[in-house]
Amino acid sequence: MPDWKKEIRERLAGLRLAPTRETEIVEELAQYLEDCYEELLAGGMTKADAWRKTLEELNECDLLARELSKIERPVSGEPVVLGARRINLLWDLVRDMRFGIRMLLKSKGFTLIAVLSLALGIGANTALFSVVDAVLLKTLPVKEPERLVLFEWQAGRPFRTNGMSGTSNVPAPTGTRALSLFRYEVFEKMRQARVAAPESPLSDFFAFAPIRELTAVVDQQAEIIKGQAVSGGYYAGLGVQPSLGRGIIDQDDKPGAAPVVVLSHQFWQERFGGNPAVIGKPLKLNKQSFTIIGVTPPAFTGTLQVDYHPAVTIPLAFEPLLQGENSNLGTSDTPGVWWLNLMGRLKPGATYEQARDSLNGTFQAAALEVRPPPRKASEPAQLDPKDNPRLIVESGSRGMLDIRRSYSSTIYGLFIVVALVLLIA
Amino acid sequence: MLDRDLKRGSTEMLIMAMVEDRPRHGYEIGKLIEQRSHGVLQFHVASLYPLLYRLEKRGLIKGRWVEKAGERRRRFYTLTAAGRKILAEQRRTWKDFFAALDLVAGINPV
Repeated sequence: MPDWKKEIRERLAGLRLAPTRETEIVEELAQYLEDCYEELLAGGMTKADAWRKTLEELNECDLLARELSKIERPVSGEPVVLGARRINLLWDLVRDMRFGIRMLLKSKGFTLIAVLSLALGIGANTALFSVVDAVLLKTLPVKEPERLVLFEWQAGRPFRTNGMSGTSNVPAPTGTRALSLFRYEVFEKMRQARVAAPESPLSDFFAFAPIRELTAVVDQQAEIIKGQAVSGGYYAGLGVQPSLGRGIIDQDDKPGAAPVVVLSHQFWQERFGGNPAVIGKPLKLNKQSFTIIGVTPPAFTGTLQVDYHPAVTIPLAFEPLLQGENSNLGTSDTPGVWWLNLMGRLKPGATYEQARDSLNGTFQAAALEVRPPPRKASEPAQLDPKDNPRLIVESGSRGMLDIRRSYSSTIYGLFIVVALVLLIA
Repeated sequence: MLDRDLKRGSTEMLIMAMVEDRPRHGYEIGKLIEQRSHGVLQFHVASLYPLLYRLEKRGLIKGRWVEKAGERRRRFYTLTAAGRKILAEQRRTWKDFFAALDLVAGINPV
């Protein structure tokens, strides 16, 4: 019996059909040729003639191959041989993907839920990471932010203060309280102590605090804006160079100095159209005239809480001018309150502990000095030494931490939820 | 307007008509067409099988391997429901075509 399969296989080799499909076609066509051959033999033809006549069926094999190539899909890779080592990684990847897609399409409901869960998880994760980056990770756009330290303090409950103004969220052990706010007199004594000690581990020491509502008048148009008051060493200590004009310096933060103001980049753009001629121009704040001396760089939005971006910055010494009898510095009738945030810059190689120890004594003495008198006769005039206030030093690289601390548990909670969604997907 | 693919359509119609009533294998289909047309219409491997595969791919016929005792297995084709519908449409089209030819050139297929 002639081997029709061999004849056909040779003629279809160029089509590169999938092995199983090629076997089927060859078998079917061979069957046809065999039927043909047997019929010719039955009709009295010799084997040789019948063979030749049957092969004529394949004469038009070009046509067959051409027609089949239009219908049958060729395989584009090598057949998988069990146990053979695969080296075409790209082809394997394509095959795996095709297999994956086929499997996913088999159960559309499951695929839909999985894809939606993944989309939701990835989207939420991306959004959440932006928040995490802004609130918990991003450092201040200042010179060497890792050298900045933030001062806080902790004291026993019996140590009272006569009022505070600002946000403070410093975790403290039971029976104690902790604040990130300082009184002006306390800051001033600490500042003098640092200046008097040439061996101080701090190269800079400065204070800043929000002034939450200010009425600014630009082109006879009044607007409520956010502001901040800073000590003279603020810009130098941070290493922030204003993009226009100059920053506030020690000479600006003295009684008798001319009132000056530094604008944020955003406020300068929105209210002054980014006009560089604003330097030297007056700006009315709470009806008081301040001279504009500088504009901060676009990326720098201050060192206060993450959600507080002051539009204007004035020297600390001019806070009473703006706040009048409500001044946090205090007046002759009312004592000042705890409201300033303190920051320092470590000298190269200095540690947090050295910074704390260098100012702790001065802080403690100054804090006890401004301690209000006992409210009740039962309250001791002298504090138990264990309740005395003591300094805490933390990283200042991200600015104030109070709001960040209160957001962090919520953010981490959301992170867990999002992670669970991704895990389910 | 008559089908532009009348020529190709005619051979497809022939094959579908052959497997309308019962399953047939490729050689049988070819032989039957040849017999019924008194040798006028002849199919070869190269012309028959691509047509069968194309029709199968389009879902108009369905092939199935059948093994009978003492015989080699063969692939039998049957008309599908979709194929039955298309066959009926093609029959109508061809009738219209012949009617038009008859009207114009006096060609009566009967």
